[in-house]
This record gives sequence, C-alpha cells and structure tokens, in this order.
Amino acid sequence: MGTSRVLTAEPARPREEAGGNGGRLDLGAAYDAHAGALYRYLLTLLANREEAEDALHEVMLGLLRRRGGGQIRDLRAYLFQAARRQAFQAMRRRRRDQEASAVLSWVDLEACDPADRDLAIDLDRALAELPAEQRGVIALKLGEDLTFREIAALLDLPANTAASRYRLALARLRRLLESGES
Amino acid sequence: MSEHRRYRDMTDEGLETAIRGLPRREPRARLRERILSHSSAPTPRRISAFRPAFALPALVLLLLADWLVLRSQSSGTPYSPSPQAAVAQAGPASREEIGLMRDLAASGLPLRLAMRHPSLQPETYLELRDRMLNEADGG
Repeated sequence: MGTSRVLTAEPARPREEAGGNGGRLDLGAAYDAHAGALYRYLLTLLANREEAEDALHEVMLGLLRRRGGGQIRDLRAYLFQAARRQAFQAMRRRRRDQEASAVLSWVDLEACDPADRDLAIDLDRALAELPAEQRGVIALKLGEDLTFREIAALLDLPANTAASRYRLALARLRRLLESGES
Repeated sequence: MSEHRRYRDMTDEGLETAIRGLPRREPRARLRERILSHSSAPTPRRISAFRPAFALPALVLLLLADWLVLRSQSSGTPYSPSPQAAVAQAGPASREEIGLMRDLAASGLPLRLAMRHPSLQPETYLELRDRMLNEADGG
C-alpha cells in the first residue's frame, strides 16, 4: 500500500515572502503541504470528485484573496475550516438525488490490493450512510491519522467532542459494515 | 461470505488499522496547475478590499457636493449661468424647448422650478417669467 502520511509530521508552512506589497504567500508551498489532506476530507464530505475539486479551488483562492489581510496563526486549521464551510455550502446547493447516488471516499479503490478491495468498497458504501460531520471525523482520524487534538483544532471543536464524535461514527460504521455481511 | 465475516471478528483497533492501510486518493495534477495559475494572474479581490482606497476620495466628493448645494441654496441661484447672463449670451429658444417647458408647467411643475432648469434657453426663461408675473398679477 505504501501510502505517504503527509500530515503525521508538522506540515510545511507556506512562506510569507517579505516585500513592499505587504508580503506574498507561496501558494505552491501551501498547496503541496495541505491540498492532499484537504482534498480527501472534501471528497469524503461531498462524495463527489468535481465538487471536492471545486471546493478545494475555492479554499486556495480564498487564501490568495486574503493576501495582506493579516497573519494566519495556524494555516492548516484555517484551510480545514474554510474547506468545511465550502463543503457545507456545496451540500446545501446540490440536489438530494445527487447526494443519494454518490459513493466516494478518500480511499483510492483503483490502487487497492485485491485482498483489500472488498474492505475498501464496503467502507465506501458504509461511509455514504453516515452524516457528513461523522464522515469528516472518520476521514481525518483514519484517512489522515490525526490525533483528536489535531482534529479538534482543525474543526474548531473541543477535543472531547472530536473524540466522542469519532467513537460514535466508528460504532455506526462498524454496524453498517456488519449489516452488509448477512 | 467467509471473508465478509471478518468485520464481526475484528476488534475496533483491528478495523481502524485495516482502514488506515488503504491507499488514499490524491487530487488530480491539473488541479494544482489550475489553482497555481491564479497566483501569477492578478489576484481576484473582493470589493471590500478596495473600501479603504475609496473612502477618502468618496468623502472629498461628498463634501464638495454638499458645499455646492449649500452654496447654490444660500445664493438662490442655480448651477447654470444666471438667467441674465444667459439672456446676454444665448440664442433664441427652439420651438421644442418652449413646448417642453410649457408641458412641464402644465403638468403642475411650479414655474419657479421650471425656470431653474439648467438647459433653459433665455427666450424660454423670459416667456416663463412673463407668464409667472401675469399669473401673479391675475391672482
């Protein structure tokens, strides 16, 4: 499988180049450090590749627009909170039938080992049954391997809420996976 | 079916480990290009970003407009040249203009206001003035 874990280490911070125009953000560095995790989070929330890409595009452009608008203390948290807002806006815009038919998560089914493909498909289907907030926490915990403290910081939640939301989501996910067995 | 049975046999930790081991999707390469193309292009900025730049010129314009209004009100003259000066400078009024002013007056617009119309030609002004005087005499 050999997937890289981008966010387990401290992510690279985009550089603010000193300049007379109030500083220039290195968008490429910000993208390389955070886009993968943001994309998977958005994909799991939205279950739609195009919508996830559009939302990521908006999030990164938002970063450009606020150039000169003051220092961002925690860029990763800022981006995830912006991504979450974008995702929920997109969900409000979309039609219900699209939501029901979409089955997509952070897991790359095409790249799965044959032995894992059943689990990946089952997971995709089970995730589609969870509410978006629970899907998001599962994606951050299991997809990105983040701690509850990190998840809490990204979603602007108390750490206990992040942990309880995850446990609730995992229990429900498990029930859904088991119910597919019979 | 035997393979499906594994979920019931798995502990939570086992399930988490199995899910963590699955390969993850990455955004398509062209998305990076699409996003980064904006950083070299002029930044799309919200209109609110321009507010500070607009504030001072807008304030100056507003004060200037206020001053002009107050000045014209206190002197009692319109912005256009005084009727006397206009009489001295301008040519005869066109028939259409006189008709327009008559229509305005007939529609209930007070003559005094009609006479302050900035495009009023001298002859029209004099005709309206006569009319106003006649009305005042008649009243």
